Amino acid sequence: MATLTETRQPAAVQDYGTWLLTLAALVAFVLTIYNYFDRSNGIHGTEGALLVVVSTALMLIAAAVIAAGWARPRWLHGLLDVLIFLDIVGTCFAGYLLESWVLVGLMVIAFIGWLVHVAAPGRPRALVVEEQ
Amino acid sequence: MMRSTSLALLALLVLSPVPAIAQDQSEPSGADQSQTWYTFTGDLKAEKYATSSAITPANVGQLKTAWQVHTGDMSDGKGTMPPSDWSATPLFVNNTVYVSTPFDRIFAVEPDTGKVKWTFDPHIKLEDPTQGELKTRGVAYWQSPNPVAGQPCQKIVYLGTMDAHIIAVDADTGTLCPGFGDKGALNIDQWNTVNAKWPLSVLQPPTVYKNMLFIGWAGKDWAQQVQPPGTVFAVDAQTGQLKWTFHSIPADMFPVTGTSNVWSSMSIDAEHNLLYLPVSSPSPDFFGGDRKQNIPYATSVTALNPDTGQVVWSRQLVHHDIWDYDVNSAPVLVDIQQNGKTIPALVQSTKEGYLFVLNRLTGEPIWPIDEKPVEKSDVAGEEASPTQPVPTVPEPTVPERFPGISQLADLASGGYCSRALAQMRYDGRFTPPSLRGSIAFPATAGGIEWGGGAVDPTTNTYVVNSSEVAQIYQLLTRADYDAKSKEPGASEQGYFPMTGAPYGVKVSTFLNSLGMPCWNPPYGTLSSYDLNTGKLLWRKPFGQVQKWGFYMPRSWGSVTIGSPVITKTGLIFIGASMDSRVRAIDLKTGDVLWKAQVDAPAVAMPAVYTYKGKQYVVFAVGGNSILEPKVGDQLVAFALPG
Repeated sequence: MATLTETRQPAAVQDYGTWLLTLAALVAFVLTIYNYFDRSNGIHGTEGALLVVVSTALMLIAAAVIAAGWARPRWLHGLLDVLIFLDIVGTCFAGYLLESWVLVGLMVIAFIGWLVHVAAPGRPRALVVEEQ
Repeated sequence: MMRSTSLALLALLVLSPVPAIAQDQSEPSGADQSQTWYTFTGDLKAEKYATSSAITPANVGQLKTAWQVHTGDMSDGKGTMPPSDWSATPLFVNNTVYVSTPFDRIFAVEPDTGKVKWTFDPHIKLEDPTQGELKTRGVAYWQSPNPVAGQPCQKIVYLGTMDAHIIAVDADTGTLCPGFGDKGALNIDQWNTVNAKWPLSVLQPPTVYKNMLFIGWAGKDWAQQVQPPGTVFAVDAQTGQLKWTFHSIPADMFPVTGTSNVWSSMSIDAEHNLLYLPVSSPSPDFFGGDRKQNIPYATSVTALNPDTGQVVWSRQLVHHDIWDYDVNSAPVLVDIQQNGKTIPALVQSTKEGYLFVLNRLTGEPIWPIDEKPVEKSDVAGEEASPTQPVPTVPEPTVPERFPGISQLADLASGGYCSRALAQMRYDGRFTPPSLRGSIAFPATAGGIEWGGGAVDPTTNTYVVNSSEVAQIYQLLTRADYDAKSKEPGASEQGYFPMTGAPYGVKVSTFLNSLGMPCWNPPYGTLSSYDLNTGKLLWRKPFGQVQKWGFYMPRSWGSVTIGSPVITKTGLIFIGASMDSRVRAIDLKTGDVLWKAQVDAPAVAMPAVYTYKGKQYVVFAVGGNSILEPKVGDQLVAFALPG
């Protein structure tokens, strides 16, 4: 009997990428909240500082969804990958304009995590037919 | 043991600050004057120069916050109180840092710890009768040439208030000096006897020289045509008794105009006994059809005999001013070296970005000043001056022509910027205000604002910050004005009534609907000149514009208010920019060597002093609504660690 299954072996490398992305997003989210309220940094309370709070929060949620394995449908997984990429680029640019260099560094780390996640061999690129 | 004790004593003697103010309150004698910062501009010459040498280009990167004080005196204007505008330069004298706040309180602070020694509160009503803001630019200091031991008020700190008083308090205790004025408060408004439409707010600290105070005041020449005529009062430093009054407007013109007041600081040549006044424009600001006859001292730099108030010389820098081009900063006194000769000179910076370099004994120009033909007014009743004085050297801080429409701003606004420009009048500098709207570049915001420049007297290197701002001056017939100024939101759009004149005016910065400047950057620069030759040494964009928290490119620079200070070691310290940062800059190259974030734009020059061998740079960080709707109450000192 032939069945369709996803190949997910080996998943370790991919998971590392996802978790690196999630961790970077988490730290960036905490940092941006701190930046929003810290009066000494020159961007506190500004629309720009609020924008990156929102963008890193969305990034964290999307990365967590992938890391938890909740993005089962292929289309959802692919959509989240694209949105996370755009989020990283946008947040990195916003961090540059806010002169928040730590945020820029975290986005570089997040991007590395994202790259590993999408490029690692464990990524379910195709469905295969298994003979049993 | 003996040797080390002697060395310690020697070190103490050498390093101890010597706040020696000479008997006549001219330059300190017998001491390195950089040890103190005893006037608004550091000294009487308005040099803004510190000979302190501990902080150098090599170690300035290590500067840290030494102390800070939050006075609590700030208002964002959202409540019932007007917004605050803290443009004060602290004084360091009498081993104390003195500064006034926008709530017209005085703080006396320990110079090395920031611990508050005392405060003084005159309990004035916190409303500003002239400016629409709670504003102060600091305090002044005097000490007796013959101090009597045990007697109070041998050293006095003076505060000018928004409600037209000079208040004198003992510098050691902060208690009122009862012998001055009426129990310590001198009511300047008692001399406001002509066209007394509002009280003579004293926002700029008096200039102190010999045993006298020279007092100017702030007006609102955009509000009415006929206003109090410009006056400067000289009073006795101990009693407040009036010595003389200088009038800037001929008496026969009192029925048709006013102001031409001195609202910023003054400078003094103690050697030649001359007092220099930067005199502002007459009222109303943007229409002169009812004041066509010449007002020689209006928009001028004028030298007086400080003993008598008699005019020694005067040079008008804008004829028939209809642009609000107030001469707005104390001229910087400098001895220029040319062909082996020393020429006593002054540099008068202006809102137009011009630097008028004059012989300070005669008022004659060091380099030629051209009388350039300018365009006529097309407004009924107005007659613009056919020519305006333009210095040929040094080159101005602002380009001669409007720098063109920003493609980015134009694109973002669907072509609004270019369409608006095409509809308005622009005929170069001195384009008269018009009914269809005229581009003013530079505009009333400057150019160079009230801080003026700083000079290193050892090399005659002059440094000045300047803004490049385009504004639209649109005159409105009285009927139009009455209708438009009552529309919702009009109060925030720069409508000024000029009541009594046939026109009101709308003054707006040339922005698109997103708030982007419609003209090409830079928006602010820092320039360095060699005053011996008049040549520009370097010019760089200065500061950064910040919008929604995002910093715009450094090449755009920032509009600035405030001014630089130069140190002996080749550093420039300056706040002034919109981005709420203070910076140290290499005098030779203009490169930023250090910067620090502060609470709001530091819209005043810093004070630089040395106390117990340690050099401090102190900024009052208070903001100014012209730059940003961001206010602060932070007095912050920076020093090297250890």
